[in-house]
Amino acid sequence: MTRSDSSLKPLFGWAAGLAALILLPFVINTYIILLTTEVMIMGIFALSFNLLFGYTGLLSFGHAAFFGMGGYVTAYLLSHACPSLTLAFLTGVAGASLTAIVVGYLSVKLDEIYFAILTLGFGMMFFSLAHQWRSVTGGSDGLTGLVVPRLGWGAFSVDISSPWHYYYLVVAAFLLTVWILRRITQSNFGLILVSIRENKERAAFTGINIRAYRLASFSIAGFFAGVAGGLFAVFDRMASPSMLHWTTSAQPVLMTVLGGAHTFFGPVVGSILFFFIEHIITKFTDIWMIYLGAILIPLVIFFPEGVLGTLLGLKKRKHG
Amino acid sequence: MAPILEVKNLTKHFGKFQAVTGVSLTVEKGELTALIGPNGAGKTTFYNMLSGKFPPTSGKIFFEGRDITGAPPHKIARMGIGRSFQITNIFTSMTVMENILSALIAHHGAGTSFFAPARKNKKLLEEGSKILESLGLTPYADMPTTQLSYGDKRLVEIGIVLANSPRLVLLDEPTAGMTPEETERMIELIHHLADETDTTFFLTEHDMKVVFSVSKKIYVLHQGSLLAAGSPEEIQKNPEVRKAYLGGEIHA
Repeated sequence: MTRSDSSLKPLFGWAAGLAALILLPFVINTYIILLTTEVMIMGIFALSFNLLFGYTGLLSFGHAAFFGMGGYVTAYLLSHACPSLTLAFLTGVAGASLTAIVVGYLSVKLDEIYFAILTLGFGMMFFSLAHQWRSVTGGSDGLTGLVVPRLGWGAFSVDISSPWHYYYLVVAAFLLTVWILRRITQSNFGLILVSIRENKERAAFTGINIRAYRLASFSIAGFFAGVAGGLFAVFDRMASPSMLHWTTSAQPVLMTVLGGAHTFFGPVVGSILFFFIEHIITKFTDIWMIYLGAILIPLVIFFPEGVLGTLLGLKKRKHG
Repeated sequence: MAPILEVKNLTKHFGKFQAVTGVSLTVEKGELTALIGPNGAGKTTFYNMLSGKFPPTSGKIFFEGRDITGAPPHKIARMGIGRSFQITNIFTSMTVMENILSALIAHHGAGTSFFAPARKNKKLLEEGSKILESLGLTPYADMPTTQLSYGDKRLVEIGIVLANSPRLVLLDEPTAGMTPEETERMIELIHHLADETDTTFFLTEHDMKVVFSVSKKIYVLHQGSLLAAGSPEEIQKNPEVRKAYLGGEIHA
């Protein structure tokens, strides 16, 4: 293979992915459009989680805190007559990022199980807060019935309450997230994160300020979790405590392990599989979690590096 | 000229156990110095204090005249002290070049670059290639370190240390666990680096052959205290040192 071929190959992959996402609405029905939109939002959530888990080596069990914060702030502004969707959304993302900086500052000095438990604790705290602080959060009902303003200004605005329009907005957000996170993971900063994951001690004695890098990673992860949360609240027309529940924190963990933590697109593949499995099973039974467990166990056993990670590993071994 | 490293009365207690007691010593710039002593003499504890792994109970450490006592590892590394570990300590699942790149990025303070691909940075790759070449690791640049021999893994760690361009390098038993050939190669490398670069080496070692062949000055640690100091010849003749080693190991 010549050099130009090999440098064009990834470009081809990107183009194919882009074309598929743009053309998808022409061949599928509304239900699948909604499902794909949700898969992409959760894909953003899982990708943000994996910057922390797969790249920095920190297993957070409280990532829903930032997803929920993004969702609640966006929903709060929209339900209090904020005229601009962009403003509400960006404030939500800013709220999630600030929360992540504070929670991260208090958490990243801990390791492994202690870090996991502390983040779980913070996550549960935000859940309780949303549950109890009725005047602001709407309590267990959440903030419901959001009216979504048009996106943009005057003549240059679109109504995104149509599933198709919203689908394209989410496609744009998804691609932008993928592009930015991909660049970050391949940058100097990203390489330092991986060295911290691989050997924290060696990294420190090489002059790397572990806490500072972990905090930066935690904050970036919180930012993109906020993006996912804001998009989800607009998608669902509501923000509810379930967005902050620990089971929501568990979703990106499951998706990432399912798809592969050490492959950039692993969490996206995991997100697709997760929704695919969920929606197939719920057609037959309500207790879908039991069946999900029964499917997850063999997947984890036979695909130790996640489905995508294991397949890419096999391909690599075959070719060289 | 002031010594590159000056340690005054360094003491470390772990509970009631006194690992290191009142050790004072100096390392002169450019003079390859060794710290020896039987197992459990406190050598690694001493190194851990010098490199910031934990603070001393009392005493002071001066590097190039600056008080660095109790500073955290990353700050001490950034000031110019590098260290290797007794048990090989590298970035395991990364390639050899990525190991070196990480250290180079840290050294240049280039970790805040969030967007440009690290593995395509020409300046860093060039610097990394030079280091790999000096260690004879060029053919393995793109190999994950898991596929390297034990001796080569230890060389990768030396490479990580060198990438920081340290002025003082602490080597904690650099030949531990090596085959005679690998040991030979390591001695040659240390000689070469000590002669060709501005780096000062301060090492601990079990293998007396290595100690006497590379060092100009030797300190002997015994049960946490300094027992003797001097040239290799003086140390070899010292009766107290011979007693501490039970007359067994101390021959070149």
